[in-house]
Amino acid sequence: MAEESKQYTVLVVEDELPLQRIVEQKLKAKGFLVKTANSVNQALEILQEADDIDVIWLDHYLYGTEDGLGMIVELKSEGSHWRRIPVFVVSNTVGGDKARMYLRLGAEKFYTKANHKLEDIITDIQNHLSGVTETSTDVGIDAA
Amino acid sequence: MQLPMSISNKIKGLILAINVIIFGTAISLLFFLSSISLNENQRLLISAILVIGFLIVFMLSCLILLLLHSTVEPLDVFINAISQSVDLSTLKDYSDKDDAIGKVAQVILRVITDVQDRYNQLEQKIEKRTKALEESKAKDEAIIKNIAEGLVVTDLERRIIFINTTAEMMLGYRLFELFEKKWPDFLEVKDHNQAVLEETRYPINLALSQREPVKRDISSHYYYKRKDGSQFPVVSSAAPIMVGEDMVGAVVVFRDVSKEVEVDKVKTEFVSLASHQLRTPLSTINWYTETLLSGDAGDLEPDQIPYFEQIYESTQRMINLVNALLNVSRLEMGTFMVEPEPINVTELITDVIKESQPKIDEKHIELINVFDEELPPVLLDPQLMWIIVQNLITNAVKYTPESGSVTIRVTRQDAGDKVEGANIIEDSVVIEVTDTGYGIPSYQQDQIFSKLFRADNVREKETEGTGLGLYIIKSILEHVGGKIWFISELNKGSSFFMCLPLSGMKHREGTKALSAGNYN
Repeated sequence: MAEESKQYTVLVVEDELPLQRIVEQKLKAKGFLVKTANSVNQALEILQEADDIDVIWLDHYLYGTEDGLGMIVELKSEGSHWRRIPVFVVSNTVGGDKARMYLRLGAEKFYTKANHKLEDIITDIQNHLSGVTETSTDVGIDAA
Repeated sequence: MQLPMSISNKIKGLILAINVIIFGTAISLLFFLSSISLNENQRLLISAILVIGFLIVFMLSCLILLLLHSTVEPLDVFINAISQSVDLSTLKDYSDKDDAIGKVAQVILRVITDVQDRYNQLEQKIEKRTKALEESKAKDEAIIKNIAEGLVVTDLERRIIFINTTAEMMLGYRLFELFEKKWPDFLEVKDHNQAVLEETRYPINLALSQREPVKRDISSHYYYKRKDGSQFPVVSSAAPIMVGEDMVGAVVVFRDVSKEVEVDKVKTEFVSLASHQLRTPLSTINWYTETLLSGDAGDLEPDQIPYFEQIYESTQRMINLVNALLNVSRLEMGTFMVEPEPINVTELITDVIKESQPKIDEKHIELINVFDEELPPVLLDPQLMWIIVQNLITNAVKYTPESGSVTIRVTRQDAGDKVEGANIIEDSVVIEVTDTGYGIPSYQQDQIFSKLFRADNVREKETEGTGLGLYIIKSILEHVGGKIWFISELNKGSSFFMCLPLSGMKHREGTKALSAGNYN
């Protein structure tokens, strides 16, 4: 784990609290600053208030009426303040078509939570931020 | 109409002629006699003979004329009577007589009555048959009208010549509005991407060019547009109409499957939700255990580590099982897609091997590769190929003890070749994975492809395994035109063979991709 001179801030949008906690803990252990949200509304509020979010960890099923797809549409819409923030979708949802949709909407990568080590996903995020190509051995789209 | 000269007239004429000739001859002879010198007695005798002779002829003639009058003349009259028109009442009058003519008249009358009877019978039969045909036709029309599926008949140019009532109702058009319109142009058929179907992909065109029925089931997700502009999902079949060897048109049958699509959606969403609900706690256990094992939650006692490792392993097993079950459900619901692209088979296998390398090294397994370098790229869905190859290789590695060996052979086989008992039907690429492992007991070999089956001998030795890997491979291969088979001997090893046609996997419309990931 390389010590970055800059500390990156991750916004973790995850509704399952135990998971939210462990992701937060691991990210912090890896030197990230972490903000958390459990719904799209909450996440958007945090984005409005803070302007230093460097990367977004996004789940699909969330509290509230909107899901991850709604969030990414909002994020990547024309004129959006947050268009350039990389989005990593980490979800257990089924559906190659959902994964494709996320990628088409501008997500960096789609992970099926259960199929990956937490360590590996975070390493990918680190590598992305420091401009290195990812090392995880996924075949094309890692879609469940 | 000129009446032919009657028979009696002919005979009368003849007799007259004969009399005239005889009379003339007699007179001439008499005169001749007077001119030659004969005595009185001779002259008298000869004269008497001549006269008597003539008289005999004359009397015979009279007799004949009498006979004529009584027989032939009536016959002439009879013939005249019936020559003009066959008058039944005339015939009846004649047939009452007891003579020859009467008898003839009776026969003629009988023949006529007979023919009339036959004619009447025939008419009745025809009437009956026509009625039966009409009933049958009415029944057929009622069947066609009442079947709950839409039926459309077109000519060879796809112009509509018939459309049943159900189709009219489903589409919102009447037959007269669609007559001569081309099917299915006005329907603006859409596929599952909501893209309008190109003419070359019309099932009816495919049916007409291939001369074979073409079906589109629920997994194709086709939509027809009604007259009012609304859409509905359909399943359909198009078939050429063959009369003997000639193709004379096409018939399309289609059904509104809105309900089934709804049910399918509910099922799919259930599976989606269930897998999500299952995976969430599994992910939680997974990541918490991972964190513990990595020491990020504090150091573990060395004695504790194996326990956490066991928890981690078992969690992995469950995750694999959920993934496998998801694939099985997609295979069975037919909702998975096949998107072939040119794939270098040996490259793909090499990549899969790389993924299994840690395990191969850990068990000191010798890996032997025999690849046909001349194999061209084959049209294959990379994700499905990955799943198949990964399954075969991880199985081989998993079920081979330490220091064993695994051989992977990739060859090209031509149609007609035989590989370990299986017939190769078309030019194919054959992948063989042979191990020196535990093998499959012969009494369980026929179950090896069944769902959730794991042979007894490996269950003791290796706890990891869902029993779904081979079922999934077999299912995939069957859907894409391939085949899988094996030979095995207990404690000696197994050889698994799979083949795929060089022409590649068939494209399959669907909405889901299968899950790659270790679940064998």
